[in-house]
Amino acid sequence: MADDSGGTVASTWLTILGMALATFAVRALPLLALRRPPSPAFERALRHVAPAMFAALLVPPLLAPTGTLAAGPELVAGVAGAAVARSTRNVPATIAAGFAVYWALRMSLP
Amino acid sequence: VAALNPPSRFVTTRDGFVAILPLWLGVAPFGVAYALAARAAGLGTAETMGMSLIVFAGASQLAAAELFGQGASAASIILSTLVINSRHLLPSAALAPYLRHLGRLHRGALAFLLTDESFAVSVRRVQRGNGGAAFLWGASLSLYLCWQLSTAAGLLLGQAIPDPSVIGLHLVFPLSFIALLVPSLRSRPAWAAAVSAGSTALGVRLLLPDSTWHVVIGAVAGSLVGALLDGRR
Repeated sequence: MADDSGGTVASTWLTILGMALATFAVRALPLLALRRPPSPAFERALRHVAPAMFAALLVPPLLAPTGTLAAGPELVAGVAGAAVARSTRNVPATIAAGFAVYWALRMSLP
Repeated sequence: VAALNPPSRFVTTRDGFVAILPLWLGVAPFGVAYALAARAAGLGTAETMGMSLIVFAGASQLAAAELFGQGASAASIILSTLVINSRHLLPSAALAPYLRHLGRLHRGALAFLLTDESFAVSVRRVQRGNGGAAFLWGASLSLYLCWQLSTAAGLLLGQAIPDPSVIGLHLVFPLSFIALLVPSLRSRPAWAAAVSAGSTALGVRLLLPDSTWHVVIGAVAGSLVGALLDGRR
């Protein structure tokens, strides 16, 4: 994508269009097709998608930032962010705390 | 008798628009974070803004930015989007029985704009039936506007930063998801879902370094674990 060849840009846009269609499909399908409220089983099946997905997204870049397992500044920054998120529930504060710790470590380590 | 007339559609739409304004404070930082992550991943200005305009789903956009940066295939990015946004099936299903009187085009437009936030502030109005659709329109348009403005703000901020990799901008991505994950860990099944999803995703990433399917595989595994534990209680 940093690559500015025409093919790459076109495929980036096609991917974004595919994302838009996939997103619209899940938002619109029940609204256009369902007649009754969702069943408890349906609700249960989807209830934990959010925490599962957030964890799947954030664990690899913190524990394996370069593709191999490493307990580096990224991990410490993540733990600091989690502590701040827990006590403040504030997004900018979480990001700022993580950055502050990351930079403190980067400057103090050789 | 005049006092008993329901408020006009315009007033109800405006009320919905205003009702979501306090939530702008929670959503705008994600818009900025998304635009910064997209810049760190090498996406252009038009692509970053275009994704906000036509996809309009924060978590999946942040994830896509990260995957684009890793050079992921179109198929894995689109499937990740589908899995991430599958949770939108639920609010859509919860509103469906109460909006059946609207035309398909009208329902489709509301579906395109549906978010967790607009659902949360509108669901009771919609289910009671008094001008619910107009209220939902106001709430949804308000959040759409917030998302576009915060994406644009993030693009401007990103242009002020010369080299994103030097200042550790790659951390915006996991830290944003920490801010989303922590409040959702309210039960044992939720914890189990998060732990199993995180470890599965990590395992797949370590075993198959060139693959970008670890997000989808981890998220599906974690959701299943959570649903199984929930079903047992």
